[in-house]
Amino acid sequence: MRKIISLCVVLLGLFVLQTACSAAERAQYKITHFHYTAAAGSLYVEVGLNNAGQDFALAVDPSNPQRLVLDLKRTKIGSIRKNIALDGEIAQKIEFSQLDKVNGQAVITLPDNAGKYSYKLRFVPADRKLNRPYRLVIEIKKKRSFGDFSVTGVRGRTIAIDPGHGGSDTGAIGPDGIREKDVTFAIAQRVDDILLRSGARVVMTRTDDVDVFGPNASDREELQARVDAGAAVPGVDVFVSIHANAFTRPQANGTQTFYYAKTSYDALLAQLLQNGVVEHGERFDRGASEANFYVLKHTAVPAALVETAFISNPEEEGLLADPDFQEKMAEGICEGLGNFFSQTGA
Amino acid sequence: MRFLREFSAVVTVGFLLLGAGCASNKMVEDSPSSGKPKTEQSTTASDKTDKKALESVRVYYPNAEGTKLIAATKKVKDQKADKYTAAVQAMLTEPTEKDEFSVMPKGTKLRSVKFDKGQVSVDFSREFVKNFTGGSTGEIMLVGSIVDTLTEYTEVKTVQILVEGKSIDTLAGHMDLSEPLKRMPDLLTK
Repeated sequence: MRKIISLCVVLLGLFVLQTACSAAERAQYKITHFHYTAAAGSLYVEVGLNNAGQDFALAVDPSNPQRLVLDLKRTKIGSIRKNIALDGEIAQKIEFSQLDKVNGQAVITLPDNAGKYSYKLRFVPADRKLNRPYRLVIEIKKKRSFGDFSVTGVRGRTIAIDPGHGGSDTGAIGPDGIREKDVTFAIAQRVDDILLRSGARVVMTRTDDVDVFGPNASDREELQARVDAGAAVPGVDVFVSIHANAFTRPQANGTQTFYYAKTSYDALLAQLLQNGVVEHGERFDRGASEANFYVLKHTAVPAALVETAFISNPEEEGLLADPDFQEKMAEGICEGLGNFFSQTGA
Repeated sequence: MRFLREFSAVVTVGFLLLGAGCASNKMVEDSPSSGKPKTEQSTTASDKTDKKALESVRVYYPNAEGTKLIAATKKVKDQKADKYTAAVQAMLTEPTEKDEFSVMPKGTKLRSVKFDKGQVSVDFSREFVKNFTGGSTGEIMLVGSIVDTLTEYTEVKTVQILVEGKSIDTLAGHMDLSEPLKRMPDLLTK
């Protein structure tokens, strides 16, 4: 009797195993629907399935950076068209193929390398009312191209821009290792672009990752070299130093601008820069404050030091490393400069 | 438990007030080691808190956001220290309260504190610069807490920060520390 029971258990086990295996070999999904829309610079590619599931992935084709591959494991392609032209601007075409009995894939061809696009895969539940099945939605967007923002008010002005730290001085370093000197330089370059486009002359205290004075300088020599570099061209109107803030506590966050009230314009310049950066960057407004900072005190012209955001705050460190956020910071600074010259006239 | 804690807090505050009341009747002795003539004024209102100098000192710590300084009362451990030294020593001691934290760079030691003609010169070991981490806010909160703690004594008009006996240009490239610094009242009112 016992033998029979154990035999039954073994047989049952084998049966379960077999069904499990064949289930894995059988395709679980079938593509029933395809649709795409292009709107406001984004392309939405929808692949409708008969079953809901999330085991799909989208990645750049390692052998061709212009292609995005949607992995369709355990999916039958079904009776949709296999080669479909897309909008032509954001993406050129999508090709579905059945790799083997159970697995498929879809390849999206882009006009340029995938690095120039942002893309994400979302899972959207079926919508009975609209008669839409469960869908995989791929959103593709061309990354913002910088080069269109400009400000009024700076035309004919000469502006000294000081990217904080550099060379042997990394400035503050964030919890993920982002260095202040790299962030300030990236933002300063964007500021340079916008100001030139807006008709201003720009004097950069450094145009590379270097110490402004040179190697082995004292702190005073280095800071004075920045002041001097900012005054090297005759007729400089204002001096703006760009920094990222840091504090021992990670929760400190936000934007703050400093000035040293040596002329009647320093406070106004700082406040307008602060307003511009807060408006564009939308970080916590710590205000414009007076401070005994070397580069602000020793420059002859109105000057301000913008602490864009806290590199010591994990969230803001991520933002500071993001080219989109760097552009926003730069736009805010330029907006502030434009408003400063518009208000002060002269 | 909560009741007990609150009760003990009330009792502590009561004792502190009692202490302040008693202390205001005594003359506070300056450090015998300083050898300087006493410049203490015993009649100003703000002096009432200063009078506890030998038992406790009032120091400033930054808040966690680094937007302002908050006052705290600390017990004086070294009874021989003058009040200026005692205040800076208290700032160098890791705080015990949950909302307080020290921004003193790790390993910083106090070399000397001297008062002369309205100015306190406070001399730190090299770790003060070497182990400093932070940006503008870090500098302002560290320097501001020292300057505002010392200028809490009304006879102190300026504070000169020294490292290994010499003046320094800056901590990390923002504040100019080469010259004596005035009280930074903005940090206390924000």
